[in-house]
Amino acid sequence: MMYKAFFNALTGAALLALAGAAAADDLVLEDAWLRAVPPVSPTMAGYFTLRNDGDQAVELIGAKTDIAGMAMLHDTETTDDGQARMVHLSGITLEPGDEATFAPGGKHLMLMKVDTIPEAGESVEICLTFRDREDLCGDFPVRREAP
Amino acid sequence: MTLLPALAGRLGLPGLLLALAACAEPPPELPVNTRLGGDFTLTDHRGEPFQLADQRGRVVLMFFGYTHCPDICPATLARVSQVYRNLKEAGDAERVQPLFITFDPRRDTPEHLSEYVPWFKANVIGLTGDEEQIRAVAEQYGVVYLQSADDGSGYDFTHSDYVYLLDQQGRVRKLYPSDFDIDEVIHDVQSLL
Repeated sequence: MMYKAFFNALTGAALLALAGAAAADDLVLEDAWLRAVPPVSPTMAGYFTLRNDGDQAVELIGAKTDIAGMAMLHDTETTDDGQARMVHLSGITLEPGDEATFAPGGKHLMLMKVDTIPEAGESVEICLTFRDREDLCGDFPVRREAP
Repeated sequence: MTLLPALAGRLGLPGLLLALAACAEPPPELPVNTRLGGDFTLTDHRGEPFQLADQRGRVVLMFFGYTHCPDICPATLARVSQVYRNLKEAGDAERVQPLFITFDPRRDTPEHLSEYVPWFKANVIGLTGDEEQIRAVAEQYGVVYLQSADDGSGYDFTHSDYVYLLDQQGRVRKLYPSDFDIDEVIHDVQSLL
């Protein structure tokens, strides 16, 4: 009996570990980078691609990083007459198979109240946050130009 | 023979001549935009008065923005800087001047700009002034901008983001979107040198 209980517990732990690995793999963060800006800048913009390879919809709701007092999801909307406007995105839902692209001139991660602006060549860990789901963290290399 | 009068009717004689010329000649030079532009005086990032007319003899690449803008403005500055550095490699930078005009003079003081623009290593002159001066320049160049309410995390601007190409006489010759093609701008600048 003892042996069986132990075995069950072990199996359960292994299954949990497997489930954890699957949960981590079904969201893929790629092409992440931060645009290098002058050290005097209070803000930075981050870009990435997020793909949902899982079978559940996910909702990206924000981001956090140690280097910034605040991080928000923004979109740059450009009107027909060439005016650009920043809008705050409260959440982005990715259905299974969906991909969200954050790129210059469009959706971007805006870091505000950045204490010390990292230089080109450095890398910053940023965690994307989701509704009812654990954070997804990744390294964002700082670059002067888009990759 | 029936085609030409028909075309002349549609295009007018000057249009027809242009259309015919376009077949045989290299592309016409960049037209002068007579509705936008004009001289102005602002303050540069060294705190000195800056008058556009003093740039006569130089081709100017000019655009508006603000340093607290994280996405488009630094991207545009980086691209304009790339144009400048490529022109420098080609030996053409002597007579080219990039200008960055802020519409956020409250935060973008000369001191702040002096720490911001040199970082781009492209001889960019940062320009600021009082709000009325900047609004007047924006109107001359057809730039629209609107400050958002401060939501506690600061304020930003809705703004047009064109880059202006000015010839050696200070006349507007072309407008580019902020994601302009770098080679196209280099080619256009060189055509005006």
